[in-house]
Amino acid sequence: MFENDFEISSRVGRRIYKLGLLPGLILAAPLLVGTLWFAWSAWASVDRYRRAMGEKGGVDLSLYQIALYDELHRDLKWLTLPARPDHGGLPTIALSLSRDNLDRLDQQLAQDGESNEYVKGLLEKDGRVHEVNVRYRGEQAWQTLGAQKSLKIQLKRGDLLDGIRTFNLLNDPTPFGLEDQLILDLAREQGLLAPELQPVWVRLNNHDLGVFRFVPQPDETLIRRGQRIPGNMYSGDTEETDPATKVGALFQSDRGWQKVADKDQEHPEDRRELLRFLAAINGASHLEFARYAETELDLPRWALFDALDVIFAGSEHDYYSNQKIYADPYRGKLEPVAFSFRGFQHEAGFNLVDHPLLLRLKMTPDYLARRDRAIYQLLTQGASVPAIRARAVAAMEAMADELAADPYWDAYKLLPRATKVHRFFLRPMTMDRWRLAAEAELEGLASRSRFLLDTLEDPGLSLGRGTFLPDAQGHLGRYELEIRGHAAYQIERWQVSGPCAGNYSVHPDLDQDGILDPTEVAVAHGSFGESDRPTGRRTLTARARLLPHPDPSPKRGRTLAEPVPTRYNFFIKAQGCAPTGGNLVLSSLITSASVRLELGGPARPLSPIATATAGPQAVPRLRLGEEAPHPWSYPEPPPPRAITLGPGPVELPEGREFLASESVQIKAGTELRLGPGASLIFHGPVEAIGTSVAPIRVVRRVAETPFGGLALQGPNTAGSRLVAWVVEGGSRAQAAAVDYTGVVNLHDSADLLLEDWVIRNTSSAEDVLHANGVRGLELHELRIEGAPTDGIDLEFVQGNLRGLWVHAAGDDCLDLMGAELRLQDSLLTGCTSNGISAGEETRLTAHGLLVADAKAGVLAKNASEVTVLRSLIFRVEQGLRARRKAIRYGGRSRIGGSEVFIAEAKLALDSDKGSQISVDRVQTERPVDGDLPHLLEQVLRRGSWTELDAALAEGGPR
Amino acid sequence: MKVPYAMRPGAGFVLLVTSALACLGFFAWGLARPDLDVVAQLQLELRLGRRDPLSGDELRLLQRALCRHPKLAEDLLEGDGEGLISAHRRGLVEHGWAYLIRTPERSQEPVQVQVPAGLKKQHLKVRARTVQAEIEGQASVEAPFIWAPPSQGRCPTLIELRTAKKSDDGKKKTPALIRLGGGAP
Repeated sequence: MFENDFEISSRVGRRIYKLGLLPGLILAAPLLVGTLWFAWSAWASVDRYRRAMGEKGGVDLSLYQIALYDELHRDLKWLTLPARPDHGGLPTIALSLSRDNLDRLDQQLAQDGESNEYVKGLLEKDGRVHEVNVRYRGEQAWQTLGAQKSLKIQLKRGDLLDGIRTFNLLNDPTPFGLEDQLILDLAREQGLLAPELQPVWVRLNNHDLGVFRFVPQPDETLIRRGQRIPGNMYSGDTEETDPATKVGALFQSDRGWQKVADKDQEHPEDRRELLRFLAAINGASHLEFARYAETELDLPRWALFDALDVIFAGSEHDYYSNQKIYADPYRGKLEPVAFSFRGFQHEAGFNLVDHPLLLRLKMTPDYLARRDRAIYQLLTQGASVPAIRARAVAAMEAMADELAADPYWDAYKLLPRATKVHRFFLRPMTMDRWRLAAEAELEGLASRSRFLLDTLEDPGLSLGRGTFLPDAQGHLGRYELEIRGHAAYQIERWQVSGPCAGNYSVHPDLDQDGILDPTEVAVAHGSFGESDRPTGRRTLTARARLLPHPDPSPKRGRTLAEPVPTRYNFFIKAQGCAPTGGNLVLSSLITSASVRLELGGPARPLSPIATATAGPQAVPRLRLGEEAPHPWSYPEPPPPRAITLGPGPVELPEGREFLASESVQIKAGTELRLGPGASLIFHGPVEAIGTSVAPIRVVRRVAETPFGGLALQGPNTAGSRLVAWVVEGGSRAQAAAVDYTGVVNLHDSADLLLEDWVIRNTSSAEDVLHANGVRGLELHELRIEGAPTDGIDLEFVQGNLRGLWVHAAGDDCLDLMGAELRLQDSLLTGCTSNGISAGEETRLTAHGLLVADAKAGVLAKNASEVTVLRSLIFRVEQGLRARRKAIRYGGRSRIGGSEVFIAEAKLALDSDKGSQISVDRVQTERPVDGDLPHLLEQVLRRGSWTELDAALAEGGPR
Repeated sequence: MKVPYAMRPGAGFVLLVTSALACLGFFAWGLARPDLDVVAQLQLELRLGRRDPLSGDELRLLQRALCRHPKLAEDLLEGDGEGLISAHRRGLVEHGWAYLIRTPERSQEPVQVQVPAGLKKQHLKVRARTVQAEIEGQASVEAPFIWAPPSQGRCPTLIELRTAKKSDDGKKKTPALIRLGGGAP
């Protein structure tokens, strides 16, 4: 038998050995075809990439081997690819596109590079299906040639996904891939408007595409989520190049700017603030621009935004694109929208791009110091290397399992820059490569952080002194302080000593001519040995000069504004004898470090007096070599000033605007008579304490014509106290750059007290009292009699309301948006719409509340939470109403509470599917004596609940 | 010598075996790790200083890649003519090894290893090598180790420097200051 087997196998072996050409070809064909397929596939992937990048010549053998290696390893990886974890932490977005539509997208990509035409499809997330328009996004090889193509998705008008209508699903090709997410998270925490990037798992037509970045398009939702009032938002993006300067022309006109969010839907063409912004950049003198920046730009936020670009070496915000601006209507200021950073690299220098706005800002006194201080604070706190490392680790852990299961996880920059194609060739990612890339990025950040901190901590300060020479009034000597690099100081005190009982005075040489002029008055003085804090000219910063960009391009520009050594001359005038010593104490505006310079010792050579540069009246042309004016050539900000109004009548036919440096005291018994349309705008603190017998009254100067209104505007009004006021006959306050909707307006402030107020006879205002962006608002005993629309409108306000009485409002008595409040002992009666409308994530606790004669007693919507305790809602259509109304706000609305009487209501409780009302002991009968005694006796001020109708008919409490 | 017919393989068999060997060779080549892939990893690991010194094979591979890809040195040196490509702080190396690259234009200039000024009593044993040459020497604060390695012709030169305390047989890591021809790290 064995012999037989051997014979058979020997025969088969011989046949194979003697195989003819044709059968051999047939047997070898599968092997050859398979091998050729791999060979061709690797060749094609390199060739496609090479062509897409415009590389000429043939396919490089080393790159071909890499492509083949990747191809084979990718296929092997597919065999061992883990399944996506069942309880993956990333949300799933499933897209469905018809075959035709998918082909159309691919065709457009092949024809145009970037496809701009949307196709229709369906999107499913969290069990909800949305109709969407989809297009590919990006035109670079790494965006178009891979399986994971970035997508831009737009929902139908009125439909939103997590509050967002338009968003991108981006395939980030960088090896680390979390750079933008980390920077934008930090930006948001620091108070900038910045979209929330998050990783998501994407499926297309039931096929897993893997991990993408969900990037909302900045629009009204971003504004609302950033706790700002919906206002105009502009997005700058142009392809136009200025032929004269050969840089992007975005900042030269409004042609490249689109309005992506609109405050007033009826006037989309209104772009006044953008035009003012561009006019200031292109045509304002140094002084005009400084004033514009102070009043109309949110300088702390622009400095912070700039600081983030410096820290992470971002170069995306350039002369062509990635510029987004939000105009806050109630602060009258423009602020940046943080978007698209990249970075995480170290290049020598601070800014990689100085676009025209930055050039203008950096030529404005103190901006660089403000920006550098922001950099220093970030680098030593939120953006320190350990803090960023901790963020990175957390973000990586959150998505590691799903990235491991991503079938198309790839990245560029995984090869050295042997050629451009090598550098940008997409290669499969692995966990090891990801971790190494993360370490490299963090190491890059650490190098940059060291460079920036070394530069910012450099003292950059020197003192030169001349000889004291006798003059007509004693002795006169000149001192010269030089500020270099990124140093900036504030003078804390001068101390001069001498060998006699003499005295001294310190005079700044304002025109830097080396001569003490009579107009150069003393800023500090004292007896020898005494120290004195200067009253002016305390800030010493380096001014900027426009230098050539080391890597000029139309996108990055051709100039950078860099600080140059700046000298400040002081004279010390002494009587009695010549000074021999003393010191000058300064504090760094960047690091807060204190520096003491000795004034004594031998004289040192002083610099020759510099030739005068352009003054602040000059309009800069932003050309190479241009230098900012000396900071002392600008007028000093006005010194703090106290103003007293009253008592008695004060005529204000045109109204008045008080500066931030002016603190205003208004005496009890003052009557402020405002002319038609005139307004009182306070930018500084107000102390206005009236009494019940001598209140502060604001009245019409012309009986038949209403005046405008009042406003406390800006952070300098913090701590104001306004007690016992009667405001009668107003309409709405008016000012140039700020929108006011109320007779009384409280904007962008903190710790305000308004107590014992009456506001009546108001006409044509949207709100009687309007507050926006106020923390620590105390509103006590406020009576509003008649409101054309809303009685009180509070947006993003935190505080306590007590003893409110709003009667007869044309819309809501109390309208809340994004507020966090406690309300007690209040009456809201005759509200045409709602007693309380709590919207946009408001948190309200109401106790001892009576709402009567309204459409709804309390309405909670847009993810708000209201708690109502020991209160009465009377004669309304709906008592408590909760609505999901999830437009732009996720989450459900809730009303909770206990001991709530809802009497004579058509419907006591009304909640829809996505909301919740949960109240213990809802009473649907009128309260009887013994119920809610505090509300009856202390708020309504009656002895029995039988007097309720009479009390309401009379208009309220006695 | 004439092979009898019975011993001669058929044309189909020859084709089959040749195809199989060619395919096997092709896949073996495709699955072998490309030099540039290794270089990319080495580049990051050296920069971070989180690895052991390069093995002889790795050193040769990196030198070979520098010769084959003229732009590679430019990438590693970020545009400079010479420089350290491994972790350092202004030329100060604390983990006992450093790698530097010099373009052919700078190949005549010597490399210096110094003991940092704060370590006056310290003497360092220095071992330097390229793929072609190797040298051992000493460095102290007063007398730095200086070496001008042979040029690699038209290729950039990769130089390895390893330092140790004189008494430690090269095992203990000691800080060293590397100065290149121009004085810059």
